[in-house]
Amino acid sequence: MTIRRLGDTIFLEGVCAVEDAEILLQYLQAGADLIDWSDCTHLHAACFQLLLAARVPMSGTPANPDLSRWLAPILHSAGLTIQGVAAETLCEMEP
Amino acid sequence: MKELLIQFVAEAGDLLREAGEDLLALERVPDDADAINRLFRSVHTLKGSSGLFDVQPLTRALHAAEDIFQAVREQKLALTPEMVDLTLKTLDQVGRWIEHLDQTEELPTDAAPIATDLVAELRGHFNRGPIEALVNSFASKADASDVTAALDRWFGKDAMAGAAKAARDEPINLVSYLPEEGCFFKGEDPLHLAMQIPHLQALGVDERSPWPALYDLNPFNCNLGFHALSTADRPELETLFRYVPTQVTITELASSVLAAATPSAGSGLILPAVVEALLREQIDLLELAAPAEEQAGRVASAARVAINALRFAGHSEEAATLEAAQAASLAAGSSTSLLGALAQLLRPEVASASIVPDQVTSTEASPSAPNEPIERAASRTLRVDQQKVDSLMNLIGELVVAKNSLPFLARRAEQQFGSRELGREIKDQYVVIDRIAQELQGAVMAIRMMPVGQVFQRFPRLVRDLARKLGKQVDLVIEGEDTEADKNVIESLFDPLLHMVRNSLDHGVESPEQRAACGKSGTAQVKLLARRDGDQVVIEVVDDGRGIDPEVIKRKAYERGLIDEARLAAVTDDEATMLVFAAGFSTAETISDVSGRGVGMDVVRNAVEKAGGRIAMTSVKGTGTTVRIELPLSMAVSRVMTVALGKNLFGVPMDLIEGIVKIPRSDVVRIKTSEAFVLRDRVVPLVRLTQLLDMPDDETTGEEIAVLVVRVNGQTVGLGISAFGEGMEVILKPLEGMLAKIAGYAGTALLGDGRVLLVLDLKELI
Repeated sequence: MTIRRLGDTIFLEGVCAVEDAEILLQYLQAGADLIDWSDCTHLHAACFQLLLAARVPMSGTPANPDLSRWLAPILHSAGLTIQGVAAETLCEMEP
Repeated sequence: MKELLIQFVAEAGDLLREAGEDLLALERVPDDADAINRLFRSVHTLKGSSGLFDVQPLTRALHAAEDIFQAVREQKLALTPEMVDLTLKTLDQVGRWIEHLDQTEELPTDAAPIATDLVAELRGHFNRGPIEALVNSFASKADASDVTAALDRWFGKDAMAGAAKAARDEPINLVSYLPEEGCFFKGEDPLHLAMQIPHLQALGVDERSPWPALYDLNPFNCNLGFHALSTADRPELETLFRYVPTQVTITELASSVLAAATPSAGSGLILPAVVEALLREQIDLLELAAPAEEQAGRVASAARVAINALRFAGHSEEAATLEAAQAASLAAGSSTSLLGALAQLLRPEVASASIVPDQVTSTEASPSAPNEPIERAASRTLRVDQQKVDSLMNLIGELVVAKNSLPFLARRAEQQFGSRELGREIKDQYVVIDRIAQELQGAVMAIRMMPVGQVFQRFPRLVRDLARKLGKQVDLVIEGEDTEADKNVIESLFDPLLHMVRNSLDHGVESPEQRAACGKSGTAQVKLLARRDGDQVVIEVVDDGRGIDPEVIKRKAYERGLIDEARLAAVTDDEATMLVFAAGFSTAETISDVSGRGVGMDVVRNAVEKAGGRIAMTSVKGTGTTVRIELPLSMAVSRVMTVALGKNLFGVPMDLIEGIVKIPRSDVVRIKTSEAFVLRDRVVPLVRLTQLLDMPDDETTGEEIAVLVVRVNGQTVGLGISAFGEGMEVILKPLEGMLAKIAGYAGTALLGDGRVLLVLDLKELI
């Protein structure tokens, strides 16, 4: 199993191929707080675009240096910005 | 058909025509503000109305064209002839679709792919779609600030700075890679491929279309596009993408472009769209009036959102500035300094860096359209089915016939009933009715009259297209487009005119170089002139081209076997020019798709003669050619002369008749089986009408024969008949149904006493 779910975290491990995209989408549709891709060695474009669309924050640094160098900045800018909005909207209600 | 669709089809025709005219006007005078405004409005209105129907491809094509016109209007784009071609092509296609809609109430099945191609072509010149924009942005020479903004959005500042460093003042390649939507099914992994780019310096992604909600997402549809900066040289990059060459554009960027995009160059702060929107929301929040005790909370929360957003976007310096502003605001108990700091971050040039969806821009422009007074609605013309006018015409025809029976009645009153007084009274009444009938006839004729401009207006476009195709410069001058003639005449005019104008452009007008060599101006002039001359309309096509060389015409005519050697020697120059109209004549050395198949001019002559007109050509070698067409104003009423043949009456069209003579039988000369007589020192063949019509020979044995001298197919012929009748105006009705197959008759007309007059078609008979 290259894509696994534990609580609200989705784990991407090893080679995430095109056929894994469907299960990843199901997990994302069900709702997830965090995606851990520390052990990911290959990420297929189909899975990658789901991560972009879902904008769930990523945690960890992938084992594959190419992934961490090129994809991490892209995913971080997409996911974390939105995360910031969600958190702060809550703050706004406090006063 | 639905009422609404009928209206749309009618309106669309007008709008398309206006748009076409304005587009041509704009090509001549590129900064004609009125023309571009009208053009934009026409296309915009048409697109808007098309949205009411299920014609999505049509709407899309118009939308793409509208975007171009809008950019032209805002002077972001200069209109090139290629773009005019393309947009005209789009308008033509839309016109064809509208016709199809008119007939079948739906678009043809191939509309969607055609629209896609058209849109792609249009967008190629100018585009705004998110992904097409970046793939083509450099090809379409987007201005430098846009490039900078786009680069920054894709790669971020840090990566850009890194890339600039790696490039070391050398040019760097921007690779834009837009995989197919279905590429996953081909086993491709575009992401992997993108990361394989040699000497990759920066990688960015873009979505083909905005991300749908997760529930609507199809995971196997590739919605990604990639941009990469690489210091590798082009062949290396091309090798990598050798299997998907069409999906990749490689553009060389000067290192200065990168430098401009990095913050050190001070091009202003460029924020991701999300961050920018967030900051704006905070400003709105702060600007709302709030009780004093809530003010501090608001400032704190707004500041926190803004600072976090900026930090995530990697702008920690700006975040620090905001923190300071927040502190100042809290201390002062007002939101002013924080507001100021936020506003500072959102300077106009920052705002312009974000991509504005094109829907927004087009709706902004739309209010101008409805505000304009709609002149068309105030038009006082009436659209009437032609059939209604035709039936009115027929009724008047019957009235004329009925009226013509009154003189017969008057004669009967006199002769049979011996009442002269009654006869005279009937004649008086006849004069009154006759006058009213004539006026009525004139009025209905006037309804059928159309300005020649209806035909002429199609020519500016045709001439432009042809001239471009032939590589010639031609100025079309139209004069007298208000001249009116019967609708049938006007309609019969287009094809001959088309042939003539084509001929002028193809054979008459020289290339700009040749013209310069002859000392003429590079731009040739072709004139379309119309004027009224008595009961005729005269149309002339005049060009200032190379003219016609009679010697060449003679030789060609001889080579093609149109004249024999004897004739070749005898033909005068004027006659030679007229040889152009002979069937099978062509001077063009090669057959082009413009003209030169040798069917042109004789087709023209036939069409004109069929409409009852005449054609003539004059030409001066080296200075130009004039073709002159004379057509009757109206074809509805024909003047005929009645001739008696035994007990039968026939009509002969008056315009063919040269004269009437009576010759003594003894003067008829027999040449073998043919007969001839001498008329004004010329030998004229004599044909007996009875023979032509296969009727029994005339038994009358008078001293003289009545001969109608007619000119048919360029020859003078004497037509032997029994007796002359009178000239009259008749409404000629063509033979219909089973009778239509009978050759030799132009049609029938009703006589005042109820008899049917057969009108002969002498061209076919002789």
